[in-house]
Amino acid sequence: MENEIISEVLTAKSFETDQDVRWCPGCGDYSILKQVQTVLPTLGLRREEIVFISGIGCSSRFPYYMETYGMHSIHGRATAVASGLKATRPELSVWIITGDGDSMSIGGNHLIHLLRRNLDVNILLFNNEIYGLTKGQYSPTSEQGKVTKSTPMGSIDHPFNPAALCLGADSTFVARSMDRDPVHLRTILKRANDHKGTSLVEIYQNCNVFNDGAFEVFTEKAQKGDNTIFVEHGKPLIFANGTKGIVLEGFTPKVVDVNENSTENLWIHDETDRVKASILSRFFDDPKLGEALPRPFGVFYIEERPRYEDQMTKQILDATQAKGLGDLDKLIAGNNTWLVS
Amino acid sequence: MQRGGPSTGLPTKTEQADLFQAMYGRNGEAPVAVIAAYSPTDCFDTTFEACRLAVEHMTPVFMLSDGYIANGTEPWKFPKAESLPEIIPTFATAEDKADGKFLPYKRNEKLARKWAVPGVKGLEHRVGGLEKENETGNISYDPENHELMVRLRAEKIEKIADYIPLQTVDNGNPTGKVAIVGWGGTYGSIKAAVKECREEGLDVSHIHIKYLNPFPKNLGELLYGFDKIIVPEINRGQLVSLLRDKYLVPAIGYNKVQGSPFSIGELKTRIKQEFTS
Repeated sequence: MENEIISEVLTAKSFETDQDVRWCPGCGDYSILKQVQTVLPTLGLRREEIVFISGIGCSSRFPYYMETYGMHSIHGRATAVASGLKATRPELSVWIITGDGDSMSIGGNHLIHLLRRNLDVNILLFNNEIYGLTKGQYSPTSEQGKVTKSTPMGSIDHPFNPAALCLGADSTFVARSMDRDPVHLRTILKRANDHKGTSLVEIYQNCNVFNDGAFEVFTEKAQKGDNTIFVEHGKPLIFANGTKGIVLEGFTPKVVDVNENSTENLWIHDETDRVKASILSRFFDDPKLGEALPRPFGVFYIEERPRYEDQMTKQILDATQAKGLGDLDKLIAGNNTWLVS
Repeated sequence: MQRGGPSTGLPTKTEQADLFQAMYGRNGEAPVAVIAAYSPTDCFDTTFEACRLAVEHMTPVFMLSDGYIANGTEPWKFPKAESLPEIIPTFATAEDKADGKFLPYKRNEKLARKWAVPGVKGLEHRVGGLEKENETGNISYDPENHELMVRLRAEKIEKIADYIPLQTVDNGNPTGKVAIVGWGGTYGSIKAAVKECREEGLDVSHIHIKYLNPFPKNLGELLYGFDKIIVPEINRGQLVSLLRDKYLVPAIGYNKVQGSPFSIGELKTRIKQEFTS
């Protein structure tokens, strides 16, 4: 397949459909759509081998806006539908679009099982910490105390931390990005596509109608310096315009002044270190409470682990080599049958 | 696989109480095909038939079995693979594009859409749970289109009747005094009871329905040929409701919901009631 010439030159425009985009004006989803459409032509894929599968929610309308194969499937089950497709058609590039309600609530179970199986699909989790499509109820990622239409006195639910949850489910690729940083998002999307296994990309996405500003301390220029840290493999954990860094004291991360510490003492990000990734994913304090560790963005963790579809193909091949091609008649007849005459 | 309900109910015990769920258990009016096996040996053919309907008519198919069938055994002469009829999926190809556009919701003579599978250049399209415009498959909230699509989905299932066998009488005359109409795992008990009653000279026939949605095209005519229609079921009366609803026949239920099958004696006693009064 690699030797064939791709006759059609794809651009971002090649991936736009003729459908009206129905997200609210100003929604963070527009940026994510744009970055995906921009990145896809650079991946060396044919349009017809790309499939977007979504669940239910605002984000899950995404496939209708992508000129590829697509399925707007059932609530929380894009992961299940995509697993079936990838297992039977490993050559396809399969992308799952989901939100914090779809993936963390009704689809929580399917998500963790996809992660442990490690099919080679990319999950884009649009996290806006609210149920937007149903007009503003608290979601599994809404912070405790959140006042919404369904929690007039504040939510008493402890929220999920999606990155930590997915690492706990042995995800082989966990990253976080945001709608407001197109360059970073495009970089992470490419890396997710390159990873040979299930890639989980949590994308902080502003719902400007029902949860406006949920992430502004991480995304807006004035505040983002002190509250945000962009991690890169092999580089020290530095933030606040290079003035602050993170050191590890035992297993405890501490914020230090970079001027007083040589950068050699700083935590050097290692994407392959599961324990450190796990600590990184726990940088989850509410910045409003003060003394909070900065919220990390970037690739937290990558692990090379056999893919489900490869193992399945190999198992079938091994069985065929050991026992020969399947024979339906023999299978049905079994070893202990006789003819009644 | 029906067992005593509700929920976990009576595991391992038999019941026929999920026919309504298969018929109606969906959001909105969206019928699907429903067929039922009548014996252990019939399970193979019925499963094969369910696959044929699903693939050739592009619809989910409910294949109903029950605890009595599952726990039953009987000799079965299995078919050879080469003797099985071919199941023919209709795949869309680049030739299906009209004026450069592929219409993913265009339907064939069965009212089924063609299978357009990922990987085929030019047939990229989106499917999903939101209502679609006829033919184009674009999301549509148009009132007239919705009603059309609801009707098309129902007609697609009704059309299956053109591609399934007509209903036959399992035992007895094609018209007469009493018809015992069953479905699923009650087959053996009804067959034996009707046989014995007929040997005693009673004019009773046995009709066993495999195709529950849609019904075979001749089922109504067949039922109209009998004075009395008795429908034994291991439930509170589901097939009997469907028959009354569809054909306006005064069918009478004979029901038992005890997790156990009908005995031949029970059925004979019930049949004889029709001849003693």
